[in-house]
Amino acid sequence: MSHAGMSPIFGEAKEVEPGRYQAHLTFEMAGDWVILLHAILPGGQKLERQIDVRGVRPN
Amino acid sequence: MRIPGLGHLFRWRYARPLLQAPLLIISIVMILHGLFGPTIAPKNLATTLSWLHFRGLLVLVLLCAGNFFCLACPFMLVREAARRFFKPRFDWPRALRNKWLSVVLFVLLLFTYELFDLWSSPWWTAWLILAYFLTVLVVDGFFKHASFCKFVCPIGQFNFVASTISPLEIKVREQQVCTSCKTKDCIRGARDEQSKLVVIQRGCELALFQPRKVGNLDCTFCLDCIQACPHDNVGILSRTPATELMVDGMRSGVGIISRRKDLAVLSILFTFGALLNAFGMVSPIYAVENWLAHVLHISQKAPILGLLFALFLVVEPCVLLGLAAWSARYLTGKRTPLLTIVVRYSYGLVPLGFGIWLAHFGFHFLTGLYTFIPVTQNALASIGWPILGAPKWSLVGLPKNAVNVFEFGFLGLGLLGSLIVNHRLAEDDCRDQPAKAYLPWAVLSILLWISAMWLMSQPMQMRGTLG
Repeated sequence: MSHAGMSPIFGEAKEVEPGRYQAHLTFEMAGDWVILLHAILPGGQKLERQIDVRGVRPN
Repeated sequence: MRIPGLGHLFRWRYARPLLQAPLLIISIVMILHGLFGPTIAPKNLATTLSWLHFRGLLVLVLLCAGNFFCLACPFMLVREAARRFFKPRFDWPRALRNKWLSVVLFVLLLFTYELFDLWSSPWWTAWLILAYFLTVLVVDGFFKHASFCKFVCPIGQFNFVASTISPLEIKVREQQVCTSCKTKDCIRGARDEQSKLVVIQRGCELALFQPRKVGNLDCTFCLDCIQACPHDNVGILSRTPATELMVDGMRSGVGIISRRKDLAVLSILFTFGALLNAFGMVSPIYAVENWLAHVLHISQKAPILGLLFALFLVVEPCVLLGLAAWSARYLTGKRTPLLTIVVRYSYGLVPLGFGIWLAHFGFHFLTGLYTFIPVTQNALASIGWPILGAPKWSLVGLPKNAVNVFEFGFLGLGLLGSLIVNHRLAEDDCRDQPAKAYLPWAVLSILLWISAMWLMSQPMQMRGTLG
């Protein structure tokens, strides 16, 4: 969803082993994507991180 | 203008500022959000409203009504306010009283859009809007009348060309009334009864004399002529779209379009620029850019883009239009100069060009129709005023499959329009063998339509969205 107006893709991460989370996302379009990570820590604090994924190629 | 309420509104002196004020407020919000808001384009009002909603609404309003975005232009509201303090002294230079400067600026705008990936940069988008405001103030601060609108503004030129397809036009109701009119207020402005030197209502700033005005070219729908006419003989009236492209002859403030090379180039740029702008959003451009970079051993983006622009906006039109003109001349056996034929028939490409812009901008607008809602919710929440609730990022727009129907429909309508206009031009030019004069231009229109269909069916690629 790094382009204005493009559909965002949502995915919920599940804990696969202690401290390790996994989510499945399908990039529906080639190009550059931005993953915005929202997490709530055990203490109730909110954590937000941005991960840039560049140059996703078409299938 | 006969519609109850609407007619009164447009004749009201403050109708234009009333329509401009909301857009000015939105522009200011976009600038602020672009400069200080989120750096990710889909979360920013500057990029979302500029590249999705403004462009989409602009072409749809032009298609369904007329040049109402020039009417509500917020830049002119700021200009009017500035002119209360600074009266312009100079006339626009005679050498620049044409479209050449705006043609260059239009190309520059398209080039800048690609070079700086404006669609993905809130910061650059905000600066572009700011630069527009500053340019208006400088140009119209020094030069009289609507110099910026008529000779500089690239968006305005886009609107002028596109509005030739619009179903509404500002024109006189009865020519007889104008013939007997002594004051010509529509062009000179309405004067004060006591002091004839005092203009109480401005006439047309773009030198369009209503009785001799033909079509929408150069008309900003500013309402000045409507409000100045003492006989209520000027109105926003319906007409058959694109007919003004089929007629020649002297037009007030414009001249004879078949002799205006600058206007013809603007029309060609309008059409081929539509294809290039759409090409910039699909996957194959990556391959072309990479191939060019590899072959020419160039790693910078600007020269590669410059080459593509030269290829698509200069070489391709010259070759295709030159071939069509040569074929028409060969088939009809006439000796008309090639350039004369090209200038005349370039206007026939405008409906197709508009169809391509509609398909492209309409696609983004409709598929991202609701995105302004979560972006606004997020903007309000970020300033500690979450009155619209938490952002609903899942609100996006219409499904792509549904939008594709509109997309290909617009292209089809554009082709149909170009075929009709070119046929009419051929009939007027070559009464004895119109089919032969028409054939090359019909083939060219169909070729351009096929390339547009191919472009629109390509997968989109979010190029250059990360800095």
